[in-house]
Amino acid sequence: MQRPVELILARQWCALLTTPVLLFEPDGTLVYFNEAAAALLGRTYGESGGLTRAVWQAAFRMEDTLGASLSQDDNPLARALDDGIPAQAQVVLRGMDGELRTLQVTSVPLGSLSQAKLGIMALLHEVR
Amino acid sequence: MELTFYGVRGSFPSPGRDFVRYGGNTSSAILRHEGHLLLLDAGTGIVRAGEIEACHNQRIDILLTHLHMDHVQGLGFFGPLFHPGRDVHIWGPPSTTRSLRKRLGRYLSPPLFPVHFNELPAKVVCHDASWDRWEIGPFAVNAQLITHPGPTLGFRIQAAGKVVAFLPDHEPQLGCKDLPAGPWLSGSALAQNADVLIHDAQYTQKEYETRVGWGHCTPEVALDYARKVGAKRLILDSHEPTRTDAELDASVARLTTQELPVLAAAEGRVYTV
Repeated sequence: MQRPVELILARQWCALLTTPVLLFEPDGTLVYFNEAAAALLGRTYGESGGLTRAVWQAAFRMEDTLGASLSQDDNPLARALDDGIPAQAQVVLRGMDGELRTLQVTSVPLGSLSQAKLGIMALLHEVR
Repeated sequence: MELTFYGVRGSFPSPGRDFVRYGGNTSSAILRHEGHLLLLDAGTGIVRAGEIEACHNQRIDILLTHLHMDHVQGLGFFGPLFHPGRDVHIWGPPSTTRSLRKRLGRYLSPPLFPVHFNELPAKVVCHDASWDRWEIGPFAVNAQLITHPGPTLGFRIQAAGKVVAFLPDHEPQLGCKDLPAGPWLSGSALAQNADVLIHDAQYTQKEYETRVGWGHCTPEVALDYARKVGAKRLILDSHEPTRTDAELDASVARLTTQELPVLAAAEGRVYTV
């Protein structure tokens, strides 16, 4: 099944960025992340391939800075995916390599000419 | 299904003795099946197409891949638009801001053109192309956005169990070292297993190096693309206007393989699909 060209172009653009970026389809499937994001998630896209929502939620856990699980309202990925609202939060993410990293996560819902809901783009920034 | 090209050039027309065999008009082709016609693009070639073929049908359908001038310039001189009683249906890429009629009207109005769109004698109906398959006479049509600057469609047209994919302006390799796999390959759903793939092949590799992002590709990329989507025949289209007949001959000879016939689109030549 071919993906929309808007998503294809987004992936090609992200692949050239040193900014860590993740692309999700509307159902929450993580369909692509670039090499910069791979360094924070602890695994490359080549190793993991696309991940369904259930799989990535289990693979890299996000907590608040006090170690508590994130509620729907506090989870920037869930807010953008489920509520269609841009969201930002500082979270602690346990990557697929088991490492804990503090990240600023900024998620933006994407709409396009061919699909009102194209998915979301999430930008990561490591807080050191 | 029969396919006839009336314009095979990208960018601008190229008259002259070096371009006689392949032709010098910009993008235009006609599919014909069971007496029905489907016009593809409205470059300068559509003027001749209107003179030869389309004048006899009361209803005429034109699929526009996009609204760059080399794909619409012939519209203002398309004979059936000046015949009262003709129904001309134009299908083109959607926009979130302006209707297709308004966008085409920027060209079909003074000062660029002497006649206003709404003064044309024919009844002209403009349609945003649907993202769902639709039917025009015996033709089933699918449209999708493909990689080219501005909203640009590719078309997959089926009739009598045969498929023609029309992607005359396409840069599938943008941002990639190699063409990606199916789900990440622009236009692949349209071109999958097509009996005939009509595909952009405007630039040489040397030309492309200074024109990345302009929306076109090379014959070599077109061939790689055709193999990846499993097309059965490749017709190279949107020739660079400076490309001579001899250069196009050489390009086709270099690319043709036993498993995948390669042709260069030529004006007036009829292909049976």
